[in-house]
Amino acid sequence: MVYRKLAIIGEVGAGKTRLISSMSEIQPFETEAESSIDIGKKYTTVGIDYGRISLSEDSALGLYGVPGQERYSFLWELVKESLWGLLVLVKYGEEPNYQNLNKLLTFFEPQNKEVACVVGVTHCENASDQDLTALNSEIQAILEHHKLVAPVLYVDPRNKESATSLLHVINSINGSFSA
Amino acid sequence: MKCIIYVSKVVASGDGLVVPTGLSQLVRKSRRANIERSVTGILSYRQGHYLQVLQGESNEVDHLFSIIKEDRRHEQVTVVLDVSISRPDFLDWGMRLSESVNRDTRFVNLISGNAASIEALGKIEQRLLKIFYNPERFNSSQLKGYQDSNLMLLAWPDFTLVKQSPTVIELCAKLTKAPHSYNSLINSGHFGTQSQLDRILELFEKMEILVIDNSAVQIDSPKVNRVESVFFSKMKKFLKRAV
Ligand SMILES: Cc1cc2nc3c(=O)[nH]c(=O)nc-3n(C[C@H](O)[C@H](O)[C@H](O)COP(=O)(O)O)c2cc1C
Ligand SMILES: Nc1nc2c(ncn2[C@@H]2O[C@H](COP(=O)(O)OP(=O)(O)O)[C@@H](O)[C@H]2O)c(=O)[nH]1
Ligand SMILES: [Mg+2]
Repeated sequence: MVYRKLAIIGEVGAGKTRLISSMSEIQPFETEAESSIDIGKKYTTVGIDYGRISLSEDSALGLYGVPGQERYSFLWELVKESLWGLLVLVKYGEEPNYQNLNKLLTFFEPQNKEVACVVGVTHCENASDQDLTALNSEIQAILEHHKLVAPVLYVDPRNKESATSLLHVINSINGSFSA
Repeated sequence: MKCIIYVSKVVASGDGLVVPTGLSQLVRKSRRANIERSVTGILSYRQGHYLQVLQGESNEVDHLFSIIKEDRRHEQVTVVLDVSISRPDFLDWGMRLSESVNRDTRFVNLISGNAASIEALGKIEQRLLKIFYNPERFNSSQLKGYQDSNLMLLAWPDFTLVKQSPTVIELCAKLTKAPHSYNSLINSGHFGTQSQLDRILELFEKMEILVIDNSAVQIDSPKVNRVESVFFSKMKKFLKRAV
């Protein structure tokens, strides 16, 4: 059994729950819902979302929505191992908490663990290009600080296609050696 | 009318983090305020520094600059150009945010039109300006094209300037990981026709994230861990079915 995790981290309202439900919709066949690795239920009360995509009988991707605030870092511990990707959601229109983002990247160190990292900007369907360029500069400055080369993408968690494209991106980054 | 160009340093936060915090809000407000004052220009952020061009009626520019200089969000405000001009260069914007002025024709013309003043600058001022403007920074493809060169990306692009399409993303994923030869990209057939690929690469050049290496050393693809590549293939297959 090959089991990998996608950690989806972001502040309240960023779109974690919605994104995981959109990603679950792309399941072409039924999941074996109650798997032994399912830690979902127990943690929903503290705000963790859980979903799962079965790729074949012997491989699956777990989807974990985790709050971005540092006081939830005990939940970060849960998803730290066997990471396939780290997706950081940033809600456009709210001043991102860069101190938090900094701590998060220090904790996960995707650049040292060679984990594919993507920043997804949500709630941006009505934003102007100039505003998005400015936000992009801010986020890229943090990534640069962590010597991390990662994309800042515009996503809509409510949209299935947009949600799926994130899986494509992370897979492209992970596979860019072999293809 | 006059033109002021300055370079300043973003103030680092307590934990040493240097981020142009609030940049989008700053740009939005400035654009509006500058239009009222008939001041136009560019603001650029790079490696912990700002460069700003301010143009307009002399008293307006001087007044605005005296306010900006005192802004606590940046420090070490250093003027690199202060000249009178007959007409503004950036009429279409109250304040345009540009991630790369190095390839902005109007900015380049402004600098070369004032070459004497720029050359007369002290070492510190020259070094600050070079963060943003350095004609020698990258090998340009303009004369030779990309044929036979190896390409690499220093960063992912600003996706407001290039389409966030599967092709572009695939290309970026490759080129941010390792250098690839242009010829292998063409031959793979994944990136459209030669002119389509060239157009994307030219955009990357404009953003100053493309490194072009003409040393003609043949590049081997790096090897991958087998478990990783199995998971990769399964995910790929899954995503194909999912569409
Ligand atoms: C790097 C930098 C560039 C700025 N550029 C402008 C500008 O072009 N126009 C402007 O009105 N304010 C600009 N500001 C903001 C001013 O310093 C100041 O905060 C603003 O004019 C105050 O406006 P308010 O009194 O309406 O809040 C800039 C600030 C910084 C840090
Ligand atoms: N307009 C808009 N709404 C969004 C977007 N992403 C999420 N939402 C909505 O924002 C709300 C909060 O999203 P949710 O997934 O609960 O955020 P969470 O707190 O991170 O889990 C929900 O009503 C979503 O449907 C987006 O990109 N645009
Ligand atoms: Mg939620």
